[in-house]
Amino acid sequence: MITLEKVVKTYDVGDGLTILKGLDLQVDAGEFTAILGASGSGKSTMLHIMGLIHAATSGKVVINGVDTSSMDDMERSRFRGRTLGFVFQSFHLIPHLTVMENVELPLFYQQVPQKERRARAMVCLEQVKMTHRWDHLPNQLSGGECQRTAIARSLISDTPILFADEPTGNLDVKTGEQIFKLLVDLHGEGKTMVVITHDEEMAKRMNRRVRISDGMIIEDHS
Amino acid sequence: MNVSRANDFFKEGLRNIMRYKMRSALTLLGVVFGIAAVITMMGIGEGAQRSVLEEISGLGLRNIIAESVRPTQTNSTGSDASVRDRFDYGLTFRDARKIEAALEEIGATVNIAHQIKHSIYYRGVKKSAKTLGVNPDYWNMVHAEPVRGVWTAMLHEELSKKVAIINRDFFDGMDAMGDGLGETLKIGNQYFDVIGVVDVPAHRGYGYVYLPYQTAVDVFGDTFMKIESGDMEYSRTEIGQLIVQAPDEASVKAVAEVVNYTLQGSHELDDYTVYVPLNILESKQRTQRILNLVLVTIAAISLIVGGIGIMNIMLASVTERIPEIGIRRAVGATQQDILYQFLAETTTLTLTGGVLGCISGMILIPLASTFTGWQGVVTPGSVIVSLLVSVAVGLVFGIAPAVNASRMDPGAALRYE
Repeated sequence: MITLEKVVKTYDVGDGLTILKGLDLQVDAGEFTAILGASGSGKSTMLHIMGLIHAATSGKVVINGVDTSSMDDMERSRFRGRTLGFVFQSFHLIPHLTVMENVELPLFYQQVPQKERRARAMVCLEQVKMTHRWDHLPNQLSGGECQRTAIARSLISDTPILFADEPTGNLDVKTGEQIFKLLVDLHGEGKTMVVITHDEEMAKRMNRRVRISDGMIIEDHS
Repeated sequence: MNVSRANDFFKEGLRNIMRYKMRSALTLLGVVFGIAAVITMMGIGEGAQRSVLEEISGLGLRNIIAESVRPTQTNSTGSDASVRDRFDYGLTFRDARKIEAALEEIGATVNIAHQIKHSIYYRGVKKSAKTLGVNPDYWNMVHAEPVRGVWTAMLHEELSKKVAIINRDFFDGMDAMGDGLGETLKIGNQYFDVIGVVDVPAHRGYGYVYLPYQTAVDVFGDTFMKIESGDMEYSRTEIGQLIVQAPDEASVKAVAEVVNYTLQGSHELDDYTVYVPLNILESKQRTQRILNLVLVTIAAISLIVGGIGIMNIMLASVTERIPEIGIRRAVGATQQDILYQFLAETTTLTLTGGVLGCISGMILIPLASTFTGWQGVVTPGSVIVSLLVSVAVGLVFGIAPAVNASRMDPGAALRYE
C-alpha cells in the first residue's frame, strides 16, 4: 500500500542536513505499524514524506500503486486530501474554527457542498463521541477532546490510510489510552495505520514495529 | 473557480475580518478615505459638468453672441465740458445686415436684441438687472422655461403694450409679496406690468427683464442720456445684443470667424465683444478635466497609502497564521486554495472599505455641494467604478502576501511555533 524506495531527505541548512539516508519501507494494506526512534532520528520526516507533506530529495514514494514522485503540488494536495488522514501530537486544530468547522475542513478543499460537509462531519463527531461539543472552539476543549476532534477530521474524507504522529504524546495516561483504543477501533474497520510513538508498550500492541535511527531503519518486527 | 467556491472563500474572508474588528477597521480606513474621495470626486465632477453644460447650453451651443460694450476711449467732442456730443458706439443694423449676407449661404440666422440702459425700480427701490427688448425668434435661440404667468411667445402678442417678463433671479431679488405677476416695474420713466416669470439657464445668477422688442424701441429709442457728477452724456447704441445661430455645432467655429472678421472690418473702437458658448464650454471642460485629474491623483495617493497599509497587515497576518496554513495544506489545500483564500480576505476587506467609502461619499457630496455650490450627483456608474477600484486595490496589494502564504512549505508550516 505504501512503498518507500531509497528515500533521501536533505534539508538545505548549512552544507545540507541529511535526515533520511536511502530509506526503504513497505507498508501493506491493513497493517497497524508503529514507528519508533529517538528524537531527531527522522521518524516525523519519514511520516511527512509518506504523507506527501514533504517531498523526498530523491527516491520513490508509491502509495496505493500510484508513484507520487512526479506529481505537482496540485496533484499531491488533492491526492493527500482524498487518500491520507493525519492525527498530530499537538492536535493542529485551527483555533478560530469551531469543532464542526475543523472537522469538515478537508471536505471544503474537496469542494463538497456545505450541507453535505455538515452531515458527514456530524457522523464523524458521533464516531468519536464529540457531537455535544460541535459548536465549541478548540480552546474550550480538553486535550482528549481536541485529539478526538482531530481524529474525526482525519476520518471525514474516509481515507484508507491514517498517519498519527505521537497521538497520545500530549495526553495523560487515561486519556491517551482512550485515544489509542479509538485508533485500534479504526484499524479494526480496515484502515491502514502508521503511528509514531515513543511508548514501547503501546507499540507492542500494534502489528508491526519499525525502529529508525540516524535516518535508517535499524529494526523491523512483525 | 465556481461561484459557490468563491462564495465559500469570501465567507471565510468576512469571518476573518470579523475576528479582528479593530484591526480590520483601522486597516480599512485608507481604502474608505480613498473610495470616498473617488466617489466624491466623480459626483462633484459629474455635477459640475452637468451644471456647466446646462448653463452654457442655455446660451445655445450653436450660437455666437456679440454684445455692444461701452469703450474706454471715446470719440465724442463737446464745446462745453459739461454737455458732450452724442457718443455712438456698439453694434449697428449695418453690422447685422453684413453678417446676415455673409452667412446667408450656409444657413445661419441672425437675431437682434435691444438693450435698455435705464435703471429699473420696483416699489421705489432700484434693482440691479439687464433689460432686453427681444423679438419672438429670441426665444428659439436661448433655452427658456416658463415658471408662471404667460409663456414667452405671449409677450410678443402684446406688441407695443408695456408688459415685461422677468427671469427667476430678478423675481427673487424683488422680494415681492406674491408671485410677481401683475407687479409694476418702473424702467426709466415708464411703467411696465409683469406678466410672466421664466427660467433662462444662460441668465442664471443675474436679474433680467425682457420687453417686447418693438415696445423697447418705441419707448426708449436708441439714445440714452446719462447724468453723472454734473456731466451729461448722450450715447446711442443701435443693437444691444446680436445672436448668430450656426446651422450645426460643427460650423460654429467657422461662423464665429466670419462674425469676428465682419465686425473687425467695421469697428475702429473696441466697442463690442463676441463670445462663443461652445468655446466657453470646451474651455470649462478642459478646466474640469484638470480638476478631475488633480482629484484622481489625490484619490489614487490615498488608495495607494491604504493599499500599502493593507499589504502590511496581510503580511503580518500570514506570518501569524503559518501553523494554520500548514494545517490547511495537510488536510488537502493546494497552493492555489491558499492563494485564493488570502486574496479573498484582502478583497473582502477592501470591498468592505469600498462600500463604506461609497456611503461616506454619498454623505460628503451634499456637504461639498453646500460649500462649493456645485450640484454633486451620485451615479450608479460612479458606485460601480468605486467598488471595482476597491476590489482592484485588494487584488493588487493582496497578491504579495497571498503568494507568500501559498508558497509556504507545508511541513515547515506545521512545525512552526
